[in-house]
Parts: sequence; C-alpha cells; structure tokens
Amino acid sequence: MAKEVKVLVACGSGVATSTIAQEEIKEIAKNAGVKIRLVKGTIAEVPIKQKDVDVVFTTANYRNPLEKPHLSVFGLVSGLNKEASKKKVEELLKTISEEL
Amino acid sequence: MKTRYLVIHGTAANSEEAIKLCGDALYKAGIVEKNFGVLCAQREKDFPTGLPTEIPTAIPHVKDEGITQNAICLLKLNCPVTFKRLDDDTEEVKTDMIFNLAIKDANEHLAVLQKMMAFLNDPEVLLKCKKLSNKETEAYLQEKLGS
Repeated sequence: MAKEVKVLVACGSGVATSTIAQEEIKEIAKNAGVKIRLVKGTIAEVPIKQKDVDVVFTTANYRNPLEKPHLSVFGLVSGLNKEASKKKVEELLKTISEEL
Repeated sequence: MKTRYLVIHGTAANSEEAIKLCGDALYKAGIVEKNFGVLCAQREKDFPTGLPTEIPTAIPHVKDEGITQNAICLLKLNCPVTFKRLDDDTEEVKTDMIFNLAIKDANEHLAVLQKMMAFLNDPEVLLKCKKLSNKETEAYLQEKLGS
C-alpha cells in the first residue's frame, strides 16, 4: 500500500484561506488516489513545521527557501486559474507519493 | 451558530482606516473585542489580503480568541483604497469593497467561506451589492452565502 503523503497547508493567520485550500487539496488527493495527512499552519510556522511534512502548500506568497517541495495554491482559494492550480497540486502529490 | 452579516458604508483614507471601520462595527455588534480592528490591520501589514479578481476586493481577518460568532462585515467605501495582494505583496489592488471576516470556527464556517470566494469572483453579484442599500445587502449576503 502506498504511503501517506504528509502535507502542510499554510496561510497568513491559519484560519481562512488555509481552511479553504485544505478542503480543495483533500478532494484533489482523493480523486488522484493519493493518501494524505494534512497539517494546517500559518506562514510564520512554515520553517519549523516543514520538517515534519513531505510537501508545503501556501495560499499567500512565501519567498524564503524551503527544504521541502513547495507550491503556491492561491488559485485554489481565489478561483483564479483554479483548474491549472488543481492540476499542479495533483501532479506534485502523485510525484511525491511515488518517491516515498 | 449562524453567520452574521453586517454591511456598512464609509470613507477611509487608506486600508488601515477601512479595516478599523469594520472592526468598530463588529465590536458595536458585540461580535468581537475592541482591539479586533487593530489586530486585523496589524496582520494586514504582514500578510495582505487584497484579491486581484475581476472586481478587486480585500478580505482582512485575524485569528483571535475574542470572536463570539462567525461574521462577515462588508464595508462599502465612497472612494477605493489600496490593498497589497494576498498572493504577491509587491502588487496592489484598489477596492471600495472590503469583506472583514470574523472567524470563530473555520471548519464550521467552511461552507460560507467557500461560497464567499465564489461570490468574490462574480462581478455580477458584487455590482449588485454596490447598488443595494446596506440593509438590502445584508439580506442578499445572507441569501447568497447562507448561515
């Protein structure tokens, strides 16, 4: 059985946009057949929390270098280029899942 | 608990003043503590919330223990103010519609938040909000976003 991909979803305050993005990512993972475990956080927590996950998704811009794969998922929240955003998330989750 | 909708009208010189108008309205309605607007404005500086949608808006908010119930306060401004963008803080949007979110429980509030993002992407409903009176807009938000 495929291993679980540990996912961090972060936004400015950890309440609004990360909650919306989290639901979208759950749905994408389910459709892609990738098992994930989600952790939510704030952008400020990313440098620490990234250590415990396989991939980081942020809704706001995050420019500092990360140790883990990172994708900005503003599109999932705002609806702008949502389909393209969904596809990127799906591909990244699949790639990571295969590498675990 | 149901989501409350407040709609106010006002004038602000900048995004900080606009956010504080919302914070004051939410405070007077007994939904947040007095410093909510200040906290939101502070957070806005570090993590801006301007949305570069067809009709730009902003969704200032903050995590705070003092929030008594999920609520959205829409401020309609006489003149637009500038917000930095949520997805790229080197870019700006100008907006005369600010949706200040008081989120007590994001999971409980999820359906409303999701509907709101679709709402903010829809120029037609935003233009309608501009035309309606404050009371009418409250009813319209309730109808469109639910409780």
